[in-house]
Amino acid sequence: MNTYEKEKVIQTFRKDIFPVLTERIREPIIKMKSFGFYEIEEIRLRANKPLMLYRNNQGFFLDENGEVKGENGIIVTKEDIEKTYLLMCDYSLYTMEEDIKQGFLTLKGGHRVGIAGKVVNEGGRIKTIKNISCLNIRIAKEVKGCALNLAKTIYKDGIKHTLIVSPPGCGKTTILRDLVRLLSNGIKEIDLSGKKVTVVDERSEIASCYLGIPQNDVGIRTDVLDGCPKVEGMIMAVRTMSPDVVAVDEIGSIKDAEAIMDAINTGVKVIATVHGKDLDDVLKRRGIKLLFENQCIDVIVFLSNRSGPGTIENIIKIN
Amino acid sequence: MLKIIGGLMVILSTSAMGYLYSFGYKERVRQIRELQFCINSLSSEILYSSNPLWVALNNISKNTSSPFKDLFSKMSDYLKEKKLESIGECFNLALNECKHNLYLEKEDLEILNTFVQGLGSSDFEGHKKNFNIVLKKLEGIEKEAEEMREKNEKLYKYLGVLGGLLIVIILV
Repeated sequence: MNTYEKEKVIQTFRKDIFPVLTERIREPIIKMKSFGFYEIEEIRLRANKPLMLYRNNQGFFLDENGEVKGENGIIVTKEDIEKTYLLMCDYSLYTMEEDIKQGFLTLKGGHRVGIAGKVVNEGGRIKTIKNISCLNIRIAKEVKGCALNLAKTIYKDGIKHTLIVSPPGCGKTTILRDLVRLLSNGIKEIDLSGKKVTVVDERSEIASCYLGIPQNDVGIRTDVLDGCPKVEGMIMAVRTMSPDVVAVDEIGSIKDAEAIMDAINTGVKVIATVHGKDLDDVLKRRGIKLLFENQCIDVIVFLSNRSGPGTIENIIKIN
Repeated sequence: MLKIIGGLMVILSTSAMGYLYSFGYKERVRQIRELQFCINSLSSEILYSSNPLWVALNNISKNTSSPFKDLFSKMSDYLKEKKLESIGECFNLALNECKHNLYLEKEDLEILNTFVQGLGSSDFEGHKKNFNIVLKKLEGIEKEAEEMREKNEKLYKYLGVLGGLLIVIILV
C-alpha cells in the first residue's frame, strides 16, 4: 500500500468509521501496535463476545491496550452495539427502514454494515430487525486505477457486456467502481472516449452517495440512481438518462436478467457483478443462465483474493 | 417641577413593568404557533423526504425565527457531531443554551420533550403517530395560552399604568 492510499484510508477511518464506534471499542483500535488500523478490512461486533477484526482474511482480537491477541480480548456489550447502531443510522432509524429489511446499512463513505438480530415478520414478509446483536462493518476502500489493466484488455475493441464474478470480499465492487470511473472519464491508452454511464446503486456501495452526492470518484459522465431497486432502476436509466453504459451490482434473479435484456435491446452496454466462484457456479443462478443463453454476456471476469483482493483469475471472452 | 418629573418616571417604569409582563403572554402564544409550524415542517422532512434528523432539523431551522432557529440548528449540530448518547441529550443541551429566549411554560416543554424522545427510533408509522399526538397537544395548549393572553395581557398593561398613578397619588 503506497503512502497516498494509506493516508486516504486513515482519513476514511477517522471520518466514517471511528465516529460511529463507542469509545471502549474505538480506543484500542487506534492504539493498535502490531500494524496500523488502516489494514483492517472488517470489524465484527457481537453482543457479549470479543471484538473481532479481520486483516488479510485472518481474524484476530484486541485487548484494552491495543495488543493483538490470538484469543479473547475486549468483550462487546449490548450497549456498545445499541449505541453504535443508533449512531450508524444518524439517530434516524426511519431513513434506513428499507435497508434494514434487507439486513444491512450503508455508512457514509459506502461502508456496508451487515446486521443480525431478531427478525420481525408480518404476513410472511420481513418488517424490521430488532434486538440487534451482531454488526459486521466492512471497510470500503476505493482503489483508483485497480481496473485499468483489466479495462485495457477487455475494452480494446470497444465496450462489451461484462459480467464480473467473484466470491464475497474479493474486490468485486471495487473493480466495478473503477471500471465505471474509467469508462466515464475515457481511457486514453486504448483511444476510448468517455461514455455516459448510469449506475444503479441499490445498496449505495458503488458511488457511496451521502445525501444524494457520490462520495467516491465514479467519473465525470456518471449519473447515479442511489438506493434504487435494480430492475426499476435499469428501466428508469434507459428511459430517462440516455446512457451508453449501465452498471449494476450483484444481479442473479430472473427479473434482473430480464431487465438487463430489455436494456441491452435498447442498445446500451451493461456491466454487472455476481457472487460466485467459477462458471459452473454462476450458471446455477437462473438469471445468469438466461443471460448466457441469450448471448447477453460478452466477457466474464473471474476474481479471487489469492494474491490480495481483486486478483484476476480468468477472463473468458464469448463474443 | 421636580415632583412632576419624578411622578412621570414612576408611572413610566411601572408601565414598562406591566408591559413586559404582558409581553410574556403574547410571546408564548406566538412561540407555540411557531412550534406547530416547525413540527409540521419536520413531519414532511421526515415522512416525505426521509431525511436524517440532523438534516431535517437544519432545514427547518432555516425557515423559522428565533428562538427555535437557534434551538433546532444547535440540536442539529450536536446530532451531526455524534458525540452524545441520545437524541434526548442533544435536545436538552440545545434547550439549555436557548432557554433564556423561550417563553414556554413547563408543561409546554414537557410536551416538546416527550415528542423529541419519540423521534428517530421508530419507523414511519411510529413517527406519524408521534406527530399527530404532539400537534393535537399543541393545539390544546395554544387555545389555553390564547385564553390566558386575552385575560391577562390588558390586565397587566393597565395594572402597570394604574399602579404607577396610584403610587404617585399616594406620594403626592
